[in-house]
Amino acid sequence: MSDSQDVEVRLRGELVELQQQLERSERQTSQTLLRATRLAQVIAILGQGEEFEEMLSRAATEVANLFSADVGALLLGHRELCLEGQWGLDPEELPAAPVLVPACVMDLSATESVRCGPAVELGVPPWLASYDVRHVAWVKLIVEEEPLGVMVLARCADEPFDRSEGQELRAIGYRIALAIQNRQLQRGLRRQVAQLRRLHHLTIELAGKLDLDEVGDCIVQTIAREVPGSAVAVYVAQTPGDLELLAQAGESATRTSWLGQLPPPPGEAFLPLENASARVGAVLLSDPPSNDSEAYEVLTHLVDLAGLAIQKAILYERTREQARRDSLTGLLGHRAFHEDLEHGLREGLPGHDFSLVLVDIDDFKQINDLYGHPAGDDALCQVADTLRREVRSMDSVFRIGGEEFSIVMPGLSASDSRRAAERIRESVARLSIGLPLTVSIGIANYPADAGERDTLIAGADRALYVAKRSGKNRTVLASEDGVEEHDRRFANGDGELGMLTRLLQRKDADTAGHSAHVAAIAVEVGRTLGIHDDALQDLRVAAQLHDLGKAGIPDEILNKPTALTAAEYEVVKTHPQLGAALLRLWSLATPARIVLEHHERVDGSGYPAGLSGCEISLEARILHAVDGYVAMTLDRPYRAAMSTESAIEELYRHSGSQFDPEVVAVLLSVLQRRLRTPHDRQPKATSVASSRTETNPATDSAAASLASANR
Amino acid sequence: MARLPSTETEAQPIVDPMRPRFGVGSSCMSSRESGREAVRSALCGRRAAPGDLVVLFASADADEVAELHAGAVEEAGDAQVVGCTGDGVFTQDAMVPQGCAAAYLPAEDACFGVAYAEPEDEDLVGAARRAAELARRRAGAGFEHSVLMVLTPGRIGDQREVVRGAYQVTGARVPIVGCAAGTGPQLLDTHLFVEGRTLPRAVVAVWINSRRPLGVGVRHGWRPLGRPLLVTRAEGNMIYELDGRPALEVYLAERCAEIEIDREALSGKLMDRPLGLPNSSGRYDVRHILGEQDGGMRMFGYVPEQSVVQVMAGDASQLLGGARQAAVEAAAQLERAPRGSLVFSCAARVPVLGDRLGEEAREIFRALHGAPLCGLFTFGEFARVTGSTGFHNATVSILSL
Repeated sequence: MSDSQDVEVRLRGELVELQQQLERSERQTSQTLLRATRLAQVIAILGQGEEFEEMLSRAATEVANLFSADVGALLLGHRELCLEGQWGLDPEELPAAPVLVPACVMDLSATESVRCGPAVELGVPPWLASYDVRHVAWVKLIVEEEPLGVMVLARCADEPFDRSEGQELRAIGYRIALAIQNRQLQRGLRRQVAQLRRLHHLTIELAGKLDLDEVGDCIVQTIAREVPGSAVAVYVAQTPGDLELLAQAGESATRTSWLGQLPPPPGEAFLPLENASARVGAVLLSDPPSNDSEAYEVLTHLVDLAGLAIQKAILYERTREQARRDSLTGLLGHRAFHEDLEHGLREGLPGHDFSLVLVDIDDFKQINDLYGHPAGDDALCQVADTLRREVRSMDSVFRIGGEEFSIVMPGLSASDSRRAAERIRESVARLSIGLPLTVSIGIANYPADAGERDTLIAGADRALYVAKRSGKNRTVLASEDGVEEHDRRFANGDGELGMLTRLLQRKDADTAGHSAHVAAIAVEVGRTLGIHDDALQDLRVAAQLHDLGKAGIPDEILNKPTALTAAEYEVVKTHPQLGAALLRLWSLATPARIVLEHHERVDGSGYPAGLSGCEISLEARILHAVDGYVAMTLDRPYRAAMSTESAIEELYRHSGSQFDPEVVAVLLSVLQRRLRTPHDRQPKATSVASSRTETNPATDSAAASLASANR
Repeated sequence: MARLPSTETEAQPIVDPMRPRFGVGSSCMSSRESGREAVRSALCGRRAAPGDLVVLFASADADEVAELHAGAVEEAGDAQVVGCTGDGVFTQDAMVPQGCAAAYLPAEDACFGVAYAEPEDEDLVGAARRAAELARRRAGAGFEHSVLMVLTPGRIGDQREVVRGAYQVTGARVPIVGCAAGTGPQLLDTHLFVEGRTLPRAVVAVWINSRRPLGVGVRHGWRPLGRPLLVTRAEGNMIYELDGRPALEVYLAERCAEIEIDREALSGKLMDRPLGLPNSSGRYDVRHILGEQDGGMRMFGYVPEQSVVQVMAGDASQLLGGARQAAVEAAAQLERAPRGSLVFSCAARVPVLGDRLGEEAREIFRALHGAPLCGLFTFGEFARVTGSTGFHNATVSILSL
């Protein structure tokens, strides 16, 4: 070989060597560059605003790629690890929690948080062994001594994790742990905010609930949703020491044979619901969370809230019950009577048939006048006690007026109801309270005598009226001849009242129908205002005949289709005097006075006498208000019928000027009660075009239109 | 069709008409008959059986791609046909700028599960996962060694997401290989061939279970040039800043080039100097520059913030060396001489290789001991055997059977 050839071979060799050196240098440079930036890259990835799960998945992927690992996994938890992010594991073979890791990994600390080495030396758990990994790096994720989990990287190639990579992984592990802690804190905060929001909504929801059952359901559902546990039940203590199941949820919610025994058995929690003075109930929870858990704090809060809500519901129920009762006798009151009667008619009482018994103390006004009001009150209580004592458990007793009581007796025939009523009457008559005390009783049977509430009450009322007229201290059935005769005479125009009614009907049939409706409402208002029975009868008569005087008004005025002149209006204004005069002719003095005054106003602007305030009898003030309301809700040729709401508004607006405020208040409550119940319908708005008689020429104001609503 | 120069080391594959063997064929036409001809050549007189696979690569600018595919399907008979378009195709014998090439993979000691999924709401991860899951299920069980081949449209989004989805199914045990379909220099639409359909937007998965080991190799041959640059602002495939300055300005200064910023042609002008990201194996993951946006650079693939990049350079010899190393790497994973290979070579290598383009297939052919090969020029390559994200630019990726 020549020298030149030697040189060439040598140079070629050197070239190859230089190329190899260059490659090695490039390789080292590449690795150095990567290592210099790996931590920064991981931090940049952790800072991306992704969902927590996505962040963990991406972190596992990127760290695995940056370290050329075939498998990367993030296992979160303290004692029990759970796989939260991974790269390279078979999705069908993911390890279930708790994920096993070598014992030496759990012993890693903040100062020595990384262990790298060959898989055969460090050992790999079964879930990782199947990937034929040759080198692994375990990194404990710790922040401020708090272990948050473990990261593992594994390489299948024979490329060990060197010392400097271990140092890098330590720093990266700390950064990942910090990011996890931050995200967990954020998550916890968001969860708490969401929980607080739900609790806030629950508080508002509970604040709006007054029904005890609804409150119980709401509490149970909320506890079941917010607090881990297999079953929950809420009990209420209506009476001290007596817990009654209110609501429950869960599989073994009734596992309460130990109820009241403290301490509760293992696996059960008994949380009393208490206010300052008493226990109002208890919450029972099976498999409750531990006392130091966040869930237990929530439970405690819910229990406090439940205590307040149940206490409020109990108070409301008691108050409501008290409101339904008469404070003097303790019997259910007038409102409860109507509610229960309506409910019974709608839903059906046991046995379906029932008897409505009206009981009225005879000559009660005289008792008050002669013996004083305390004696009157005592009489009322004695009668109430007698009624309570003499009725069956299924019967309901009410005090519906001053000295008037009612009893709803399900499942009795007419004769049985009479026997029961007679027993009551006799028991009252036997009372020895130092004064004469008897009652008259009227009975109407549903559905034999009437199928609707109003007609049923009216039937019993008429029977009671007949009992009174027949000499008092007796019982009369609505189906008896006397009552039917009374009805027939009144309806057909026989007798003095019937004759007058017939006179009114002849003049204007619609006005007569309107008057019957006015009478029904007026009597109810009068009863509520405590008017005694005899006076109520006068009010009923006056209401039914209040337009009797129109019989003396010429038809051309009454039926005039256009506005009245002032002179014509003056003629119409004479109808109260005419009506009163007719009634006096038939010796109906009290009704006559009521009729005479029924267009007087409390502010003195009415007619015919311009009386004001108490100068006008209470009955006349009642009639004036009721007549005004009913007239407003009827069609008139010069205006359509007002809606009920508008008519009530008008009543309210003119309360204190045209109408007696006390009467208006009671009338409004009566109307509201009647409007709430479907049976309380007004008679169909009747066109009174035929009786169109006048238009008040004086004014077109609302007050004037109201005033002229019924001339 | 350009006949490749023969070399003294070229091995002649022995075709036994009685036994199904890996075979390749090509056609320089672009018609229904072209597809038939390529498959006919690959079958080499044999008859495909049910369960066999025919891989069809067609040039993106071939006329009537669907017709070409239909011809291949007709000729393949009972075999399934999968494939995609590329920026030119090749076999060990021929470089086919316009036409198609086919490889016949008999199910002699392997089974193939083919499936595809179309991305819903741009969800590439989900599409890749669904396609891979279905392909795995269709491949069945029974053989020890597996590889997932993935074919995707060239410009469908972040191809790294495809690897993420596929990796969720393969895990670390099963290598991934494949490519994003090539578009041709005119950036034409790409097409995927699967289940008799020619689809523009689908992720195609071929799960291969084999009695014998399979080899996957990937290398590029590019070398770093110049100083390291820190990616100080990036998001997804966009590099906005390098060293705290507008990325494109820094890049151009680094390569000492004065290139007129022409958005349409920028990609082609910068193809010779991609960026490289160092990886932990001491090599570089190459990312080509696709375009400019507000002074930043849109890259062909994800570049993480706070990473370091270097401008890369390469000549034909270096790139051919890279191809050879990829083949050696793939062959090293086999227990015996390879029966044949599928080659996915980046289209960005074509201008650098220039006149020596045909040598790339010859280098691979030699390194694979003369086993037949069928390949195409791609818009990105998939190859993940160990410790890599699996999506590459500017590489040669090889699947050897």
